[in-house]
Amino acid sequence: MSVLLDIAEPGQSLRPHEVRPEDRKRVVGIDLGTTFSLVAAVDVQGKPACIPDDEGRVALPSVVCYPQDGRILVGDRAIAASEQYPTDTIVSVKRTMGRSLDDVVASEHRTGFGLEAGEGGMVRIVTSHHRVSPVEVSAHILKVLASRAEEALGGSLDGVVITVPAYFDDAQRQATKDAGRLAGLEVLRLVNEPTAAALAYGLDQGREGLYAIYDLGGGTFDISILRLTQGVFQVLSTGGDSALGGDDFDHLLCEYILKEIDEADPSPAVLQICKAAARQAKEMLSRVDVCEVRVALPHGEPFGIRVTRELFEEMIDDLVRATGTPCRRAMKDAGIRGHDLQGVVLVGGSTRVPMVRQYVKELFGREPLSDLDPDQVVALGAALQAQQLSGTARGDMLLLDVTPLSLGIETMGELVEKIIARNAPIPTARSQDFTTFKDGQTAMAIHVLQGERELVSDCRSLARFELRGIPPMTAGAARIRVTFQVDADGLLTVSAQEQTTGVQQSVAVKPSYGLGDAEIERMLREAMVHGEADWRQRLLHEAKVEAERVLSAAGAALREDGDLLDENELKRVKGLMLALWEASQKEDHEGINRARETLDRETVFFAERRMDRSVRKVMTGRKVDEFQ
Amino acid sequence: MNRVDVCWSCRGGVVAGEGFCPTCRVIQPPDPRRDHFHYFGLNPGFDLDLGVLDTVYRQRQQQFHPDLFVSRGATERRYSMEHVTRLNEGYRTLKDPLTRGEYLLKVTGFREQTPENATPSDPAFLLEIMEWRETLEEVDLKGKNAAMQLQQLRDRMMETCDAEVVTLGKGFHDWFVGGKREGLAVAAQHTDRLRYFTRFLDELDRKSELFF
Repeated sequence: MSVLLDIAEPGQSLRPHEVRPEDRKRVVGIDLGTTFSLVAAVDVQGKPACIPDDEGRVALPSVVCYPQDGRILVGDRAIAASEQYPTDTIVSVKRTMGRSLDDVVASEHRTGFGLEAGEGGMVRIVTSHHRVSPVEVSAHILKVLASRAEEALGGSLDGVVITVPAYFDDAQRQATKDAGRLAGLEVLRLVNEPTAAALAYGLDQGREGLYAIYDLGGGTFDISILRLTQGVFQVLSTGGDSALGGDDFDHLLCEYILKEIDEADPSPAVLQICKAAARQAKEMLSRVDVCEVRVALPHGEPFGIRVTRELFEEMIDDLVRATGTPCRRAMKDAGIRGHDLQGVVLVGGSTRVPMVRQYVKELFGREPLSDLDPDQVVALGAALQAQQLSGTARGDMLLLDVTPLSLGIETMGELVEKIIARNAPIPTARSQDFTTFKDGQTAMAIHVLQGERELVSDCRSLARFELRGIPPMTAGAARIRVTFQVDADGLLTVSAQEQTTGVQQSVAVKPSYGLGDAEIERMLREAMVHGEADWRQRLLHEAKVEAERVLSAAGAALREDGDLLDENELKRVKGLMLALWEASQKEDHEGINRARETLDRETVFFAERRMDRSVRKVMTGRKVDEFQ
Repeated sequence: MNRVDVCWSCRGGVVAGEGFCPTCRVIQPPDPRRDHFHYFGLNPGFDLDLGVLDTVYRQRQQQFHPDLFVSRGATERRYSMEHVTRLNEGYRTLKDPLTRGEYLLKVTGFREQTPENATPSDPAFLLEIMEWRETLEEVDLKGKNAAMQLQQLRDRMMETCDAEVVTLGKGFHDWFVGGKREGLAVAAQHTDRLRYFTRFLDELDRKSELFF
């Protein structure tokens, strides 16, 4: 008997309020950056920290090298091998995530590796001996970070939060999530980088009010305006450019160096050397006014190239100013002006460039904050969010994020009809009705687009599908409801449904610009992660969660209305609960579900009696009100 | 009178629209029959305290947000999503005077659909709008005062919008407080004017972005 009461007591044995040490989940935050990536976790004291590698380095260069012998080198090892394998070394892969070849070629710099169009026009990377998708390359980076974290935390990870630029579109987000799955990780959430940064700042310093987060990383620029109130981080607006960052500064310097050494058509190896020199010059110029970098080519005398800060600033002036437009737009969308802000936070390594700091100061009319390491702050915030999502955090903080770009469908005249406006808080769902324009039309093409412009050709195409089986009617009589749903990760699902007839036809589409589900499944099988065992594990976990809920519900019902049962009935209900509890201690999900269904079915009579009582209670309550 | 629903989880009684079951404390689905005002616990009407709206919005998010249900079962996660989707939609609708006005016209049964005509049917108003358009067209975007001229035009338009909001607010007040049905007709007329002005502002802002 006491066992029965114990298992039925919610908040005690089954759902503890206190987090016991053994309940602590191994969760981490990952900043998957253009130039380098980091992983962070929250310690027992609730403080986030980046996890270093064996040699004490926290930043893992986002570089992957695929030598012909089949090895996969990541990070500093890939950089070390890059001179030997210039055409097999992939850098800045983030710039190609979820993008078509056309997009990338339009903005891309010279690379040692080749690019081609793969499935659906998406980019594939071509090395000297094989082809690899950006998603796979990112997965290789994630795996290295995950195993670093597993070693530090002493076991396999229960979940990760991966950050993405706020301005990433749906395809880029989908690709990032796919990379996580491919690395065998449970992606708890994608979080926007500026929001993660704000999280790290807000919690550290207990700040309140309006903040702008200016995030200029290696390959992306983001601006977000947030309101912090009592632990709630409400994103009011966001904007940016997903192809603008410190890489572009490097690129300009690299072109300058190539010109100075008179190399019009550099080999991949020479290009690698000049890129490294350019990066070095950029970093030095953040501290000194003039620098000289040594460029040692494989043959011939080394060059010494002198660059002044003045020249560098002249080169990057347009790029830095290009960040102003998204900032002003974001302030307008949030309905605020510069002086309403309590502070401007700098994030991303490129904000170390003095000219960038100066420009931010002019733009917002105040000195920006940079007390946390701009390279680490995103990962730290992601770790806090991961902790929060694992249900074991202590604080009460909540992130309310928005969708960065408008979503709509194509209508007549190649125009885009917007269904969800940019900066709408997520999750969100909106529907719009459309109709047929021909008599007897039985199908309708639906083209899903993302972007702010009015013409279809100026927006990003996310998916196309056809709603079939519309009953033939006169033009304009059918009512087709198109529903857009954006989840908490910012990912979109679209469905369409014919409304007028009883026939409910609906097609759900997940934009598959990143990778098709089939392709992901294939790669998962090849990589031999997940598989049958993991799938069963998942089913078992779900069955246990449900069993726990049903037991807790039944326990609460018995405490509240147990007097509605006679002794025999009570015994029977408790017996069924015990059976479910026993089943839930075993590893058979079907057995758990069977026991749960039996308990459900056999307690219907109890539920009916409780319902009668509730109705009577409400009726009595009303009478009392009326008499008063 | 409050209707009683059955908790989907423990099958106890729940007052329809309550977020959580009083017996087993499990999340309940949102009640589709509640309008946005009711959902936020606000009195229906045009005049509302935006500070209160913000506070309720935040509090509800802290109860229902999907982040708080990550480790729960599929049904609980779905209900959390439905609540927050509902919450975001209500917040968006009520926060902005134009969408709030349009929504109120629906809630009061004054009109089901917001008219979608590209041009207003009232000739006098059509003329007014055309004058604004002409002024906008006349701004020489290549001229050196363009940004300033656009800003001045914007400021003037904003004042006009503010005046519309006051007038339509009075119309709604006449109905909700005074019980005068004709108040709604006034509100509808000025909501429509506000909609055209808002569209004009969007156009103006698109031009202003050239100078960002």
